[in-house]
Amino acid sequence: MMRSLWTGASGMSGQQFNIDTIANNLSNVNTTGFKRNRADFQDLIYQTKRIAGTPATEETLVPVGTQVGSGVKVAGTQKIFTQGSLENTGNAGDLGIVGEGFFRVMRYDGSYAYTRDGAFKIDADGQLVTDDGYRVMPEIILPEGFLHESLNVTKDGRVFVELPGIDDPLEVGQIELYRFTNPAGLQAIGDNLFIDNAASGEPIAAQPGFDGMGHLEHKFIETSNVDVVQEMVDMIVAQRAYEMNSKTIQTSDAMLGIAANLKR
Amino acid sequence: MVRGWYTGASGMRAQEHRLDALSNNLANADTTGYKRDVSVHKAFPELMLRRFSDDGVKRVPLRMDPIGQIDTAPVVGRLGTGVEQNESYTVFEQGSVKETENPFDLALDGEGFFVVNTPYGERLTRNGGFMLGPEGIVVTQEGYPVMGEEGMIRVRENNFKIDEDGRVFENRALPEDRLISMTENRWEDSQEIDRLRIVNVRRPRHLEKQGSSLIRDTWESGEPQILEDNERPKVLQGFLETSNVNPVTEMVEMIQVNRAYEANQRVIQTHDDLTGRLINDTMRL
Repeated sequence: MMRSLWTGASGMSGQQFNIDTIANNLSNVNTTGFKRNRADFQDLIYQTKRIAGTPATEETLVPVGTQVGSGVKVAGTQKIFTQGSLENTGNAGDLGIVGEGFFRVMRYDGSYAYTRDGAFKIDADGQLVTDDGYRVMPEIILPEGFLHESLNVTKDGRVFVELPGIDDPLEVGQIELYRFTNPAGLQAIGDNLFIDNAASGEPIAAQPGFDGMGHLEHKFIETSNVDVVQEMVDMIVAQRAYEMNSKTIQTSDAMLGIAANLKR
Repeated sequence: MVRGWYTGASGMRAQEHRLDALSNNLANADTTGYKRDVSVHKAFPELMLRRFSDDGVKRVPLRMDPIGQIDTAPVVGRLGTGVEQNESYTVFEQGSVKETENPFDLALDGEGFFVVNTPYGERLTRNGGFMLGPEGIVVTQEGYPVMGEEGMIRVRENNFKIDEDGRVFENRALPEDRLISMTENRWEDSQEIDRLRIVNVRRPRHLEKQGSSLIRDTWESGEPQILEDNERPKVLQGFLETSNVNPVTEMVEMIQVNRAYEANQRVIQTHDDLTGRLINDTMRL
């Protein structure tokens, strides 16, 4: 049958994927520490109908080949790790990263995951945990009976609390940040978490504010880096591209109808 | 049998080829660095028609040849026999560039190609949506290393800059054993580490597209040569080149294809009608 039918279909499904990505970005416009995705496209394989250099006569060669492409495919989605803006919350558990790096948390199965979402809470054991109860690693254990308002995290990640009756603040732990050679290769697993893999490289740990890490801002959270205007423009492009590809399918259909009408 | 049938059919097939090219262009309307294809057609060999069983006409004027020669099969004219697809031609026109602010996105402004090293040999591409591989090498979306003039390009995040000439710089003042943050880089000791290999071939018309944004040089196109000075396209860091497909012309052409297809169908049907007349009406027994 007509190749253009499938070519148009590949264009439509590609744009559908594009819209899926944009929709996910827009729905996470208010998600703490969310990094937007970008869908990248590549052309599909080409069918060569005639190879360039085929002898045309005894002395001459066919100078150009005849190639026809078969549509488009999704090459991949890429996370764009640009800085989101920081929002002051006044909440003692909130930490925002200014610059590079991820917090590390331990998941329910004991494996590590990484996140930019620093909206931490304090659980019943006095530990710093995420919204899902995953512990921040290395562990930060707050002593029993500490004054809640006194929790303070410095820019370089040292955690201080005050205990009733003691004048000097007590240092209870050190928050570390982790970086990857290729953060775009990290795998997003939902819940604002990422896990490392072969593409991202091994995690590299350091104290916030040193060795290329960003510093922490206490009582701030990082908002998502989704740019609504850009997403809207991308959505217009995707919708129109979808529409045009549907027209190729319609045209192919009309032409097949014409061909079928040859025989009366 | 009836010559017009085959002429009409060749027209219909040629329009199908055009639609194939058009639909591929539209499917890739949003593909980075895509170059549109145009389907070029050529006429089938033409026939020389002669009139036989003729009384004859004088071949040359009488005053030049007093005896006179008689041509018994004078030429009537030429007759075309249809159309076929000749080639699909890739238009390497500049696409517009859009800003992405991602330092690994590169766009070429002008004629030329990036070189990537695939397991099957070096290939050319206009798609500059690169990323950093796990070993710190700049790679394509599929993990093929992007080539500089001295081999693969090894950089660190936040510690490389690419100028318009394609030269890659890094700040040597920073420690080498760790990653760099965006704010700490002051570019005290900026040194050139390599230059992007940006090439072109003598006859880009003969390049062969391979899919996945890769293009292969052929024997006909000539060997890729590194571009220098005025010929070298500008490299824009933080930009991507969009496809050069123009939706308006593609849609207009699609209308054309549709109608030309229809017209060719009419040709066949008319011939069919005429043949039907001949068979059924002329010889009524």
